[in-house]
Amino acid sequence: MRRGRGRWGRAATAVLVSVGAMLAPTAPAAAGMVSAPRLTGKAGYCPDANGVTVVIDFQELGGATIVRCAVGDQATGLAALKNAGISITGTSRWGEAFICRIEGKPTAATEPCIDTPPTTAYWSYWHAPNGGTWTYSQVGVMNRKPPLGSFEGWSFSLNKTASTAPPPRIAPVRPAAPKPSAAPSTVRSKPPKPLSKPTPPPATAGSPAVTQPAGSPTANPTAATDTASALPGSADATTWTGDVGRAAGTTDDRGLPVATLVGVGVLGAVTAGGLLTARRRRALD
Amino acid sequence: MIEFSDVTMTYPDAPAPAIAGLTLHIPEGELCLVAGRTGAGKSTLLRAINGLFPHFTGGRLQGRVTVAGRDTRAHHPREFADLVGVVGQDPLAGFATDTVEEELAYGMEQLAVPGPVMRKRVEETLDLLGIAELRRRPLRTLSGGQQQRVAIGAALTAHPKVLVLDEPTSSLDPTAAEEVLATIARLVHDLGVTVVVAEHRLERVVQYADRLIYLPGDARAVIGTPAEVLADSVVAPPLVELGRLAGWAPLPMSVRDARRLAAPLRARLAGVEPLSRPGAGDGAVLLRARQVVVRYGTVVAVRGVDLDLRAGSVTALMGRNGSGKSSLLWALQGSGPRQGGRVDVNGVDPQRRSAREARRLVGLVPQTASDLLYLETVDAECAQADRESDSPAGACRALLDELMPGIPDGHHPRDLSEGQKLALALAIQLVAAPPVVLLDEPTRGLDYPGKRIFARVVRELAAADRAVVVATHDVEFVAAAADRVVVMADGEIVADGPTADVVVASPAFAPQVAKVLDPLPWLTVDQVADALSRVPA
Amino acid sequence: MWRPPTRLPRSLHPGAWWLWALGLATAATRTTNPLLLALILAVAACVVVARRSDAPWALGFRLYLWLGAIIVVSRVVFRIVFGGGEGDHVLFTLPHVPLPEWAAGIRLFGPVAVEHLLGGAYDGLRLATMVVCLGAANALANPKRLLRAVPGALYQIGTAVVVALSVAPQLVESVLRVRRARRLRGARHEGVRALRGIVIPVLEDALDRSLALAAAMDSRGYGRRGPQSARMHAITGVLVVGGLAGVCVGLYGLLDATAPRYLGLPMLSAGLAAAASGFTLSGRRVLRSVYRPDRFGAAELMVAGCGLATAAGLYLTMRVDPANLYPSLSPLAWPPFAPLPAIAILTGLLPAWLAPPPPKDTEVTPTGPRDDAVVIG
Repeated sequence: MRRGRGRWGRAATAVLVSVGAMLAPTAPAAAGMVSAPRLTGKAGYCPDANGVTVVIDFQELGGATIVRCAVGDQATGLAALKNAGISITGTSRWGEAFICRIEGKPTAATEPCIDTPPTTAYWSYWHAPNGGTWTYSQVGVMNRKPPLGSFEGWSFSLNKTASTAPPPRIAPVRPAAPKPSAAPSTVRSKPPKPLSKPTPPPATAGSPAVTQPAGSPTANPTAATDTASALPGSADATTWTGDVGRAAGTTDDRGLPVATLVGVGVLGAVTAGGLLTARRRRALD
Repeated sequence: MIEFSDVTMTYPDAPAPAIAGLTLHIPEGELCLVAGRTGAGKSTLLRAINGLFPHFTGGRLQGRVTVAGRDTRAHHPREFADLVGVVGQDPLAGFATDTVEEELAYGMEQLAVPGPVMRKRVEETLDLLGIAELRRRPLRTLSGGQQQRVAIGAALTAHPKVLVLDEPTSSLDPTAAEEVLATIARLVHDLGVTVVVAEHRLERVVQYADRLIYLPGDARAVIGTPAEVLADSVVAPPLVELGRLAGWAPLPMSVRDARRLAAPLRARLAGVEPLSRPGAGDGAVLLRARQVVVRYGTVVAVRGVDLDLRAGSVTALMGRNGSGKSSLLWALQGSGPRQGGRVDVNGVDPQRRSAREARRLVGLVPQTASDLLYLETVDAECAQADRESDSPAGACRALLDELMPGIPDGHHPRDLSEGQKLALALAIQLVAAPPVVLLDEPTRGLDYPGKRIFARVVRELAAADRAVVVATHDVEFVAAAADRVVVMADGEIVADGPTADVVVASPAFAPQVAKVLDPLPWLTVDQVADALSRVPA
Repeated sequence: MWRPPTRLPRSLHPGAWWLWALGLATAATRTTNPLLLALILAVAACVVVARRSDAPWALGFRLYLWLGAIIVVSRVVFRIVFGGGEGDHVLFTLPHVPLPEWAAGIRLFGPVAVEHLLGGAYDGLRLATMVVCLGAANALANPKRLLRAVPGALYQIGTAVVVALSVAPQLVESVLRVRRARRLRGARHEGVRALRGIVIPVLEDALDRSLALAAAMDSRGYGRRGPQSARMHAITGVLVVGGLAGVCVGLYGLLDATAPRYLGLPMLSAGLAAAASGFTLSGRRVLRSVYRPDRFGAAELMVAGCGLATAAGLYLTMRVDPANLYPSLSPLAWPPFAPLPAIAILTGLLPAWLAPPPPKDTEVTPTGPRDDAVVIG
């Protein structure tokens, strides 16, 4: 009957419109997602006070510690993270106000990142002035503006309480440029003497690579990675873990999300089947 | 089967016992009719058979009531479930399940009857009551007669020895009522069930009854065969009154018996014209309705009805349940849905006006009069009604005293008797002085004297130049009060004319007097009495 | 050509449909992928459309769909109003409403990002899917027949619920009738005053009806009990109450990671065992038979199995490929769609064909408006 058909037509349109509305807002974002994320920032410590150094310590998650520099003034801790070129995932509930996954760790198997992660496994947020000690941040990543030249630290806290969360294991000390500096927070490594043989930095995953020019007195007891000193290129290779956790395979070469389209197709087929059955039942009754 | 030994029943907080010193013996297989005025104690008596009094309702029971040897004092009502089946006044309120089949099985489930036995009994009961095609219908969609039969069936599946029915035909149209009563008679005669029935409209049941218990209202009981008891009781069906008037003995209980005795009376009345009521049919037209259509979704309740209501006339609207009477009345008042047609009261359409103004044009007393009442005392209701109609204080109270004197001020409206509630609702609606008054099934809970009073009220309203419409099933009331009868069926008017013309020859709508004196056009005992006084003996 | 064996139309045991729906709902809790959730929704709606009977209680499914839509929309609106999330792709910017210091954590309006909206939509969609699954169970299985299947000890509670379910439409009818009557009195709707004029007659009516119903049920033998000694009564009571307490403690122990081990699963099982034995003991006292009870047969097992298979499939996906179930929002990505969860969800669609068709002989159309009833147009 005419009225019934009109009603089913309306129902079908409503379903399709809602599905489309669900996925449509992602369309303008599609352009931005096709290209690989830009690698902003510089590897290693910031060379000078014009920038914020970001330190990522995976702790038990495994992976080399990352040190990168976000150049320039950073508005928030989140901006510093992003401008340092580090890939992050926020939570569904709070967006990027709470950082859930850094460089793909922890994976979706252990943490779905829908709601705030539990206190037994989360990324703890630290900050320190240059040459100071790591302080557990009392405010969130979006509510704090890191001063120029300071350090932002991220350390994964596993099965610890709030008071015993581990700070990053790298000292927040910017290595001095190759000229002597009389700063009280002395940088531990001095420029290599001519008769030292440069030791290639051992690229061991899981432990911070220690480069010490042979012969230079190592007064600083804390093991620290001097990744910026003499070998910028290889430092990149040892500590940059790359895009591990990014949503893989959602786009193909031409930029179309094939899987999503297949899914929409299946959904449409099921809905059409349902509407057909409903109309047939109506006709029979 | 049922024994009452010197039973006195007193409700809690009641000044006097409802029934005092009753001794009664009802043998097996009898149909026992309990009659009396409203509030006389009929329901109390019926409840005592089951044990509901005193275990459920509270109160004090003195004396002994036994059913098949089981004492109600020692057993709860649930322990009488296999012995006594009870059918209440409103069957829908007593249904514990959703569909017919489940309702029939419910009683047996509670008695832990084994599964195969239950199935067999359900099928038998469906056949016995003729409701087999209704088995999976939801109970709420059934008509009144069908619901009543399902309720009886639900009580019967437990194979009780006694069946107790409290006003089973009060909400049924005459045909459905006949069906239910025929079923009950068949139970008594074929199955040997002892049946105790309480009824107001004795004329339908009294011919089947073996025993009549009459409760005059002063806590006593008069027990005997119907002919004995009705010989001098206040509450009597028209047949009996006619018999008393004409001096027939033994008093006839059925139309057939009466016709056998009526030949001399017919001879006397031959050639005498029944007194017609003055002013019927020639007043001004107060309400004009043309092509009224009322629809509920896809169901058409009223199909293009034309109706004229004249001042000074009383119109009875009759028809089986579901024929559209209520829908028509609500549409005429303006508060109910009306999808088509015109209604004109003094040039105004009540539907287009506000509720307050519509009330002044057409007043309607709905089927459940207590829907209108929500305050705590009669006085408060009257005062509120005065406020609502912008009339001087005390107008409503004065009206109420005219309609039915003696209603105390401080009573809660719900504690009033049916007749008093009706009078209060009518007074509330009449305060707005509408020229057209519509009444939807007003006589449902009224006994004979109450109906007589109400008929007088209606006639007085008409005499005050109003147009009155009464939708009712009660054939006797129509014969007594109405000038004009409109019969509806399936949403349309199938008959419209003076009462005598429409009602006399119809098998469903003819009053008992008409049936007895057929083919003479006499409708009520009063008419006959008046005629006999004019004719020399 | 192979034809499936002829199936007689019959209504299934309501428990089967409820297990199926609970399986789907559990599956829905495991994911925020809008494609998977929408597929679960579509599957539930399809099965309802295919296997729903014509009884009036089955026609309320549409309301659940509307409720789901309202949930999603309100979540999204909530996200728009209370900002707080940042995203790369800003859709539009509403004027930011500054709040005083003590509410500094809350941000009203401000820029609205796609990620934030989608987060709200995904969340709302998950809840809406669960609600629709339960609505599907309601539409496919007569809730009153489910209540008939409760164990003997809980029979009286079940009856109370059944009566309440029957009373609700009567209450609605009562309210409509009284409202109509109020119009007759010319009452203006004056807010609280008008409410009194409606509530009191309705409540009084409801009270009268419930008394009449109670008397009727009492007269028909409801509540008969066999003889039981006081000692047995005490034992049963202790078992049931103690068992329920044990269940509560056990649940708490299970959910709280810092509680000692014995408070978890062992306590839960002990509590369940005690409660179950208490119920069976007390159920033996209730003398009652069931008319045409629903049996749990092969078709019921199949239907329940399909729903549970869906839940199991999504649990498996969580082990194997969890990224599939939780599409990332920051950075924004198209929701993925993998075969394993899709097949698991489509398994839930099987009852639309494999379950027996519903019986057709329930007549719903009334015989016309009854004069002594309100027909709601």
